[in-house]
Amino acid sequence: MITPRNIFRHELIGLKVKVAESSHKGFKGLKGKVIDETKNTLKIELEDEKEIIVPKNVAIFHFKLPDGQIVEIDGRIILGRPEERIKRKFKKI
Amino acid sequence: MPGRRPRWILRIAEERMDILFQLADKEFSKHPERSHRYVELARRISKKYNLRIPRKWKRRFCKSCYKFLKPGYNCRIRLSRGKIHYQCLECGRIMRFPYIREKKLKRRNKIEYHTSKKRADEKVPINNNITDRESRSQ
Repeated sequence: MITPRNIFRHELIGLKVKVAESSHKGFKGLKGKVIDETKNTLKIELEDEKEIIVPKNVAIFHFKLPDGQIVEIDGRIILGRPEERIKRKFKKI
Repeated sequence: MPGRRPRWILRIAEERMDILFQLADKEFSKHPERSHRYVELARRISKKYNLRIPRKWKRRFCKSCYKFLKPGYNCRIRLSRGKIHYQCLECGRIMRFPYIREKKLKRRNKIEYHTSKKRADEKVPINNNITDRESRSQ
């Protein structure tokens, strides 16, 4: 189960996401579904089926969990390869 | 066997693999390249934490090109020579899985059925005798 406590370690692909804040103005306010993840970026499919690549370390994301909760996450926390995030130790920011 | 890996890490890893395969199954009809990518990610998790791919999804990707297989679309399944043949139509490789366990089970069931039938035949007259006696005494 994905909960707000273990979302940093869990799968982000398939979740609905909104880019709440970004140092690049063009990314701000974009909504869509995560379809791919790399070490430094998230690939998001927008509602009009366009795909964009958003860097993680300059943005703040709002993820919607399968049970409807919305979690705000700083992109710097979810830096790292998807399979290595499971065992990483996280500093409190 | 888990060693230094805590139990909750393994649980999350298993859940993530399951989620990835479910998404791969869902996305295949529209975006097959995504489902191939999800198989790659799930395999990375399984290699990193030395976990098996869930049994349900074990046969749903090609062992040679690691692409997601959907029977009827890019995979052909046939029975021949006592094995199940999964042919990947992307690269042409055939995976073979024996089903000897099911065959043995069938054989055993057949034998058990016959033996139990014989015993049932033996028992029936005895039971009848007992009931007869009881009915007479009553």
